[in-house]
Amino acid sequence: MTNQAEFLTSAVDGVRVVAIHGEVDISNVEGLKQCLEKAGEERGPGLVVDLTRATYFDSRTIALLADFATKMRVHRQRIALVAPADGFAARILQIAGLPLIVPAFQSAADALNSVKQPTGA
Amino acid sequence: MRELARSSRGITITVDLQPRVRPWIVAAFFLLMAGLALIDYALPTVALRPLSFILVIAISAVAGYRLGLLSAIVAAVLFTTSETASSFAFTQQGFVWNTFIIAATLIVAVLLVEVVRKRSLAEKAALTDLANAQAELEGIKQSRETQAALQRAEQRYTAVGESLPFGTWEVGADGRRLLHMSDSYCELFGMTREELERGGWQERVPADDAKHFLELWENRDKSDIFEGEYRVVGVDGKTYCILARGVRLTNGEGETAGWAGFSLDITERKRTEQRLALLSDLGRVLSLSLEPIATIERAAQVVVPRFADWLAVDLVGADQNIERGFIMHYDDSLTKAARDLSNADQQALYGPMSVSVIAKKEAQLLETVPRRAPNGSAAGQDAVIDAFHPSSLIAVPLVARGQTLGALTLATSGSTRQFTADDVDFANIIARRIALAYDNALLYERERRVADIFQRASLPSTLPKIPGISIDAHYESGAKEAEIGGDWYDAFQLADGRLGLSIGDVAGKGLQAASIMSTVRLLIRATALEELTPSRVLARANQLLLNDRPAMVTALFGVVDPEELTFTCSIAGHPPPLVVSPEGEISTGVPVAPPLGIAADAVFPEQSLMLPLGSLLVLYTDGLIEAKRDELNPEETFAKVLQSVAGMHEVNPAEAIAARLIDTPPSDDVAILTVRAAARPLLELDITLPAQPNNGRIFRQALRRFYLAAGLSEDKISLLQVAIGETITNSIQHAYGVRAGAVRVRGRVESGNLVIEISDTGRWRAEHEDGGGYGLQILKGIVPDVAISAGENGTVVRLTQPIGRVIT
Repeated sequence: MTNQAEFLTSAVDGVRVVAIHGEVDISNVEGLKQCLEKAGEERGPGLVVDLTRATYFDSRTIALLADFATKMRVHRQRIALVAPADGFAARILQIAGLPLIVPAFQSAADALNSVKQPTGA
Repeated sequence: MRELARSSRGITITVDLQPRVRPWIVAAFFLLMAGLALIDYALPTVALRPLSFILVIAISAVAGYRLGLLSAIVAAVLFTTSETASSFAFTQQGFVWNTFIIAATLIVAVLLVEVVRKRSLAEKAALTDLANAQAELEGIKQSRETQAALQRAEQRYTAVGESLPFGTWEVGADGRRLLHMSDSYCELFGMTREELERGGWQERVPADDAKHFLELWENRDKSDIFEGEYRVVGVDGKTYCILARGVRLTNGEGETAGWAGFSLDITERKRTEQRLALLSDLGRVLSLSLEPIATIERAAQVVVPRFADWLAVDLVGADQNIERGFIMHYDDSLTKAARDLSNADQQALYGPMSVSVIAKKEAQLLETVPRRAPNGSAAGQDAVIDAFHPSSLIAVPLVARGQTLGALTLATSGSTRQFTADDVDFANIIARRIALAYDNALLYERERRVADIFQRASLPSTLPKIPGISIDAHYESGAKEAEIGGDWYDAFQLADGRLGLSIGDVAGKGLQAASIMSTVRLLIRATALEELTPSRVLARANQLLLNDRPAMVTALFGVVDPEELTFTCSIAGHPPPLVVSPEGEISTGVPVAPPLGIAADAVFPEQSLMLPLGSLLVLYTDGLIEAKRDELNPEETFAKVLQSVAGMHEVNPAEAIAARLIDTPPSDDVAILTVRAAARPLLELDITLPAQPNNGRIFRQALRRFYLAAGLSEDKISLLQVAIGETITNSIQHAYGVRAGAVRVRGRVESGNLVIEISDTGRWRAEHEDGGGYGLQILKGIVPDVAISAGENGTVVRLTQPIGRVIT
């Protein structure tokens, strides 16, 4: 119905990548949650959430990502965010203090690498 | 008598004054002459000769004057030439004797002749007298017969006259003297012939009729037959209609001797004629109206005063109550006075008859109505009630399709008319016609109302509120007695914040058109919400329409981009959009594609119009331009109206355009949709939207334009959006709990700062936010200056952000 945001899921070397395009707010954050949960069902090393093309998201998305990271850790999986330094996402993540919980990377490649690293490395 | 005189002139009396030569006398004369000749020869005695002369002369006298003279001369000659005479004549004595005899004979003959002549003259005179007397006798005899015949004729004439209402008449040559007037006529007038003659006639003939009739009478000499009509108020109080027809009488010289004829009572014929004319007028009038009350009003104008002096119509209301609805008197001032009366007093005008008529469904006639005693109401009202007092009343039920719709009360009042049983039938006919027309008007009105409600319900109940642009619409259904049409307009916000506009017109009228309109409008809206381009929206609507229902629809669908200030649309056979710039320049789109519902492969190209700040976008249906089609230059009028309305900023432009272009209810329905782009950049913001998750984005879009207008950079904007977004989301999600509410966002620029206030009427519950505690952190991290004032009446969060400040 709405193209306010699109959540594109792909897989790179067995790692699921969810790319958020557009705006995520209270009206569609539930859609993102479902998308992440579906991607997390795959028993792989982890998940990359690419926020490069996210033009808007708020505390609900941040809370969702933090919760999700915690859940994944229980399953010994990792989550990594992609948020280029000068972009909107990086600044919001920084203000919210999320990088302390969920690692954010400059590029998708860095994020993928971090996810593929063995646990505890 | 005249006939007698006239016939006596035809009798001629002829008297022969010359005695006739009769053949038997001539024969007797010659026999005598022969006898005398024999005597003369056989008896030569002289003594017999004078005797023979005397005899001859006597006979000749009888035979005639001229013959007698001749015979005497012949006799004398015979005598003198006879042998005896000549022998005698030569004697002296014989000569003297002979001469004497001849002379004497001649004298005697002359004397005798003279005597005979005189006798014959006397006889002739006597004969003449006799002839005259005979002629006179004949004349008298004839006259007696004529008179008897005349008497018989007159008896017949009178009898016929008396048996035929209202008898015969005869007028003298001067046209004034009444020579004869039948008794029945005199009885009708209650006057003698002399009284009628002296001008009594005019006392019983209405002035107009008398005037008209006398004018005809003055010109009677133009023809041999006279004909004229007039009404008479008889001594019995009834009005009669009389046809006077007569013929000219002439004397022998062809001069007018008078006029005679009969007075025929044509009251019945006239009444039938008038009733037929009334019914014909009623039918014509009733066919003109489709409005229930107008139907009754028009019918009343035909019936009063032609059949009744006043009438009243009572109608059965929705709750079976009888509503005393309508009253009309031939005197307009009384009509008005009666309508001003209270319900109870109005009832006093004609009593409870209509109620029982409605109950029994049967007509009632009151040939006399008792005068009502004043009931102590105000004096003026008593006077009105008195003026309405009926001399007779008929109340008939108004029945159509087996249902009693009410009652029609007809009254004679203040006139010489009086209803009789015969009038009840006619009143029933009138009532049936009125009831049927009224019922049809009710049905029509009902259908129209349903269609109108349906149509209005099919139009959007609210128009989107988008900061910086104002959207207005106007819809007007067609003329009162025409059916409603299938015009629509629609405006809705698309998911990306742009504004979708549609307008169109379904060919046809009534409920069907209204239902198709509703379908097409929703079809376009549903398709547009899938975010197809205008061209594809119309193409899809076209295909769906062709698949679903055969209808021809003109339509326009377009999208207003509030940030770019453009209008991109596709047109399907519809009047193109108009944009009036603040300078008054009008730019327009071009109609290129056919209407929807015609060709499955039709394409609807897109076109774009700029909407500069302060401009007015006008979409309309063709009913609007038809309203002024009669004018000399409708396009110019239209352009002028658009320009003047575009220059006015405080009004609803759609309504202003309608008010200036539509004077009377339009024949076709009209829809107008306008979009005005704010004249200035958005430096103040004030939006209130329902507290619904979907509206967060709309707030952000409005805010974005506000930030841009205030000069904030994109970087700042995206962060500020999150800060404000947190607050708005909090209000949307928590302020109301299960109750529905609204969120208001106001923004302004104040001494170098952006001040944004988010208010609701619920309670601020920061501690329960869903953001896992991140919300407040983010808010304060972006905008340090946050003031929250929470009270019983709601919560206001004020964010103050220096425009120049760099957000880290």
